[in-house]
Amino acid sequence: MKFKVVIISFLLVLPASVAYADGHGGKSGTQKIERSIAALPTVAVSICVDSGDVTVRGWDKNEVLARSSEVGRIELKRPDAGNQSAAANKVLVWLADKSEEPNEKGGCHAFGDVELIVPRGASLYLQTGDGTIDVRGVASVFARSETGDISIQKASRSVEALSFSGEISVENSTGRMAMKSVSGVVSAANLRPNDQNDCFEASTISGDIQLDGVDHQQITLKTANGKIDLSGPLAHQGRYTFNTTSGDVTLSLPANSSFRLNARVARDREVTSDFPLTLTIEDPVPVLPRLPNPAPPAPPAPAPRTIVKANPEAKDQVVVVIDPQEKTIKVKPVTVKTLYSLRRISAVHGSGDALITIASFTGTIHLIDSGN
Amino acid sequence: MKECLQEEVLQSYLDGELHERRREQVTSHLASCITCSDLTRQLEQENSVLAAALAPEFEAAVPSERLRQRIDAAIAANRLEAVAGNERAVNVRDWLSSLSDLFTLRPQRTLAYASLMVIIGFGVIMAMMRWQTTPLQSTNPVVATFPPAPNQEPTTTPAPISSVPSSAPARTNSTITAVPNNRRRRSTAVIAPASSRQNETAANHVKLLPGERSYLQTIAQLDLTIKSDKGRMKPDVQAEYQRNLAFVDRTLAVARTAAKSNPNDPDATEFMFSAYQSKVDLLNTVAEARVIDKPK
Repeated sequence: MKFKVVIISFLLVLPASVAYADGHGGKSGTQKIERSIAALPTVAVSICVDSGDVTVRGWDKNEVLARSSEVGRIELKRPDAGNQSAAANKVLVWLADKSEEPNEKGGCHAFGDVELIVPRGASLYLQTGDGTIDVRGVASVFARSETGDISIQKASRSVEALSFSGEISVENSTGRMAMKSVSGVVSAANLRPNDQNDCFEASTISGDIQLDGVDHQQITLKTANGKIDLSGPLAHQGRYTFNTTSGDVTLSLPANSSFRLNARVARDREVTSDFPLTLTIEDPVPVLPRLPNPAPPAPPAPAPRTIVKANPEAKDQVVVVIDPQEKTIKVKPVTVKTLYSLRRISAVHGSGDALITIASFTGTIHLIDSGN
Repeated sequence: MKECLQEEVLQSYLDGELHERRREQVTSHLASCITCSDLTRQLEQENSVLAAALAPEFEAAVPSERLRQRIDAAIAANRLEAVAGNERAVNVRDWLSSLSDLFTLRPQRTLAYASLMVIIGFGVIMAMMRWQTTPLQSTNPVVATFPPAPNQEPTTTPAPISSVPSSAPARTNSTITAVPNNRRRRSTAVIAPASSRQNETAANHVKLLPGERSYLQTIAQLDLTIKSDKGRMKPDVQAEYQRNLAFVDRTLAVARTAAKSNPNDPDATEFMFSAYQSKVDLLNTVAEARVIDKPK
């Protein structure tokens, strides 16, 4: 009899305790955890999560604050084991899931969205597996996401963003820029360099690259199968290098643009231009037969040039086959189709201030007059 | 006077074959009967003469005794074998009966049999998958995927890569017989079947342009790194990786064909190397993505 009473009591107590535990856990799941630490204005902050969104905002306080309602614990660790009472110059945001024991390593294995607020001069090192990264108002950003999007705004010193399939977007920022994605689109808008050494680099495999209003003097874009679109004014004495294997290159430039164009395209691909271009096409060097007593070499003769000038009367685009024997062809707009043996196209528009070097194996090059 | 005893009774008396009571009766009769006592003496004399005459025969009885012992031993052995045979038969019967008992399905036993069948089926499927994967790897080495150039010029006898250490510098107009990596080559040699000799012969005709070898080595090493860690790749990343790899490989094949068709065109060669670099970039990105462990 006593045994039955014990069993029944146990069966009644067990569900009640489970229900209490669930209710207790649910309460803590919605509870927001928040940690902060005093930091230098140029503090370096790093965080790594396996899955979850990372949002970072800059503020005017010399303090790093981290909060989340989804992780079990947050710790702000100081890798610089110096004076613990002084402001930190390095902070590691350490996260742990609710299921993890206190001694487990946490870090990149944690799941959950995290929000960081850091000094505006902070440098960030952010990594997430499949979450998004959203940063605004800091100095330097290194951001890497496997499949999530990366969005960076108002970075003041440098940006380096890597994503496998996520989209990378950088806007209203200054400094050195480097972006790399496999299949995600890379877009940049309203970017300025801090000095002449700041360059802009972006590369993808199949993702498109879109630049609008990027004022860097040195811009290097490379994609295998994606398209390259650049719009906005060219920088004074800018150096632009575009390399695609099969994607098109489209440059939308103001009417007053001044540039030199060195393009290499496949023999059956075209270069279309709204701008009147002065083309220079070098003929292949003839192979001379060897003579028994060769005469002293003659000075090299200037290569024959083919010039394309604007034709104001022309309204529609005209495909013009440039032959080395032709001297002058006047059309506007002009579409240049290369001959079998012509793969390099050198052209000048205006005074030739900026240098544009384009290599596209099977793509088409478009130079569009945006009119502004 | 009592009647005389018969000769057979007396002979039995002399042979000691009579019972004790009968022997006492005969003895008392011989003491009182002269005729029977004389006859008994004659029988004793005849027995002694007969025993002397048959003495060799009695000696010859010894082998017969040994023979009987051997026969007894043989019989005993036969009996043991028969017993052993019976035991084996019993064992077989027991085993058969236990086996038939195994097929007597009870609920627990049915569950165990079902689990066993699932495990065996899973093992067979895994073995078949591995058996099908191995020949694919052997027939699809990285460098053999490149299409042969349409306008290949005859070259001097090229040195096969397999005879050159992986650290050797790039050499012009080399042929491909294996992946240019020591570790990879070793594994390829193991899995390359004799039937793939035709493919190897075809690959021998693929000529490398200067500088290609270093790209191929790098690609092979990166590919090996990625494959060794493929289990950790998320499915969506894996799909995206395969899609882009197909892009790059297709582009590379086209660029390589163009470069081979125009051996004197530096731009064509540069495009080919650009395509190679794209593949290296892709593999590098994937390999780097695997090492998100902890922040620097």
